[in-house]
Amino acid sequence: MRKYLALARLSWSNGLVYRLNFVMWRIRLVLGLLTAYFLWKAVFANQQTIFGYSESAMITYILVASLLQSLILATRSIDLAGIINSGDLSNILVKPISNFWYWLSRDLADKILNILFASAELSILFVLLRPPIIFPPVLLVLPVLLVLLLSTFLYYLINYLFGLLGFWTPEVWAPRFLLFVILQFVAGSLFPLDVLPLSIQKIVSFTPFPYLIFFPAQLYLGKLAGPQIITGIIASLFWIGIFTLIVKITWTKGLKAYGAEGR
Amino acid sequence: MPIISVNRLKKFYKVHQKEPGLGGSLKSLFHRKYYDVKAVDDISFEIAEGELVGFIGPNGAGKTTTLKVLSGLLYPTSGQISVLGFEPWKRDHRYLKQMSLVMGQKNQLWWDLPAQESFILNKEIYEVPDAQYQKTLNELVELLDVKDILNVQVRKLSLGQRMKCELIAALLHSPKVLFLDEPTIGLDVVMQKAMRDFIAQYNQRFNSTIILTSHYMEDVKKLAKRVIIIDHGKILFDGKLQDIIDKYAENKILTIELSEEVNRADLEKFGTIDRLEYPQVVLKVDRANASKVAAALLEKLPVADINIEEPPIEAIIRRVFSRGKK
Repeated sequence: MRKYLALARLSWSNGLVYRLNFVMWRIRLVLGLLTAYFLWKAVFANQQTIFGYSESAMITYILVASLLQSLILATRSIDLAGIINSGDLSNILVKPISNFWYWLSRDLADKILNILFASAELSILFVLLRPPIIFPPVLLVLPVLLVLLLSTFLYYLINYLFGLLGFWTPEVWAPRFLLFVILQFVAGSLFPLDVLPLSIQKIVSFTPFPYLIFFPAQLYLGKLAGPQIITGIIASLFWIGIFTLIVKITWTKGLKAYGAEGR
Repeated sequence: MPIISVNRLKKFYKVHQKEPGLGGSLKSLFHRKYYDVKAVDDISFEIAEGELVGFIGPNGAGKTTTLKVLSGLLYPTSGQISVLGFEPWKRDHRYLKQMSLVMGQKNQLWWDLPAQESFILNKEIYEVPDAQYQKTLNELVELLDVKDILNVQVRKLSLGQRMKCELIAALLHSPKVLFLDEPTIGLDVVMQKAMRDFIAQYNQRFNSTIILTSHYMEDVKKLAKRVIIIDHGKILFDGKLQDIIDKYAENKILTIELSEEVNRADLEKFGTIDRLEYPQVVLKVDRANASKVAAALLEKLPVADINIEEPPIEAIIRRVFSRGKK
């Protein structure tokens, strides 16, 4: 455990070496958020409700979804494929440390930093824009936190799996980009999924993606009843189980294919 | 009981063949031809505790592949390997804690942070107790004389300084087995010597088992009593450095200082002339009669000084390789 804490700490100081980079990344996120905010503001200018969402519900959804996205997004482990290709993975493999936890602890370190900044930014935006925002009932705080953990872990697994592709091909950016685009549409980071046609909603509900952002955001908004919450949690756990298994198998196979290139 | 034992190890890489050009790329999308590259082809050896063994061979001979298999990075195609009683590819943490791999062209230190930070991380990763960490660190820092640079960003260090810090990072957990892959590559002569001295000292002081690969014969000559010569994935020679010389060197080199100029023809009677630059002559003579020839030379020619030497080890090794190819 201590080794992963030390790693997280080091990852943090390493990240802070590139302050400008970090600031730019934050600015990008804030701009994205503002774009979505003003877009929906404009849409609601002439209407009371759209797709069953009131203005405040939609605005809250967008804010929450963007906060969630910055929380669950893996920011360090996207390097995994690269270091497999360059052979730098060897540095991790020769040490008594797990690659899976190595990247998870670095991701978590990054998340903590991002949470701090996101909270500060959101507070400022809140004061400036005074958006109509819905806060969740106190009763839901714990379930929201739990679901957040699950979706963070699920996203990590998916992202890790994409990283492992590096064992077989250097071309991992194309599939990752595709994943990213898919996520925008079917995870619910751009808009709530229930604005989609029913048939598409149905298909999407059989994929792991809604459990990344849409489900936690709905939970936050208090739109889900008890049984729906339980089903959602079970489905998240199911997908985590499936992906853990696939990751395990892929990792073992990958190691056998690993060439430890670059001398 | 050997620390390292390798029995009939093979490691083949599957490489796909691509025809040149865009057409070839498209073709390789749908239909890939694979062929095997035999990086290591049926080698066996054993190494005892405290031994320092030099691996030599040209680029692509299989040295680095062998080290990578031994350190658990590569999965062997076939054969049995045991290091400290573990099968390396299983990467048992109990094994990894006693092993270290240093690659001269790869770095483990965090590029943007001072080396000290990476050391502390390694301390935690290898679960080294505080007191032992301080002691080992102090020792290594002193041996390598790097006190002043521990708090400098790694990217700002020179190659030699960085290599020293790499070594420290690799040795903080006092590994019993150490694999050094080209530890002196790219270093200047002074730094190469410092590195060599350190490796020799480390080997003696901690009785750790070391395998070293190097392009520089000087490294191997100074450090390793035993060498394993490898080419095209096969072991050509395994034994004492002196034995290679006895086995493969055909000549000795006589360097003669003449007091008067002598006919070329007179000199050629004694051996092959390598260089003739009056007053100095370098003669290659048959190994077995070197001393007889020297005596005869002293008697028959105006010799001021004479010196008998073994041919340079590089030349002998080249012979080993050219024989291996036949």
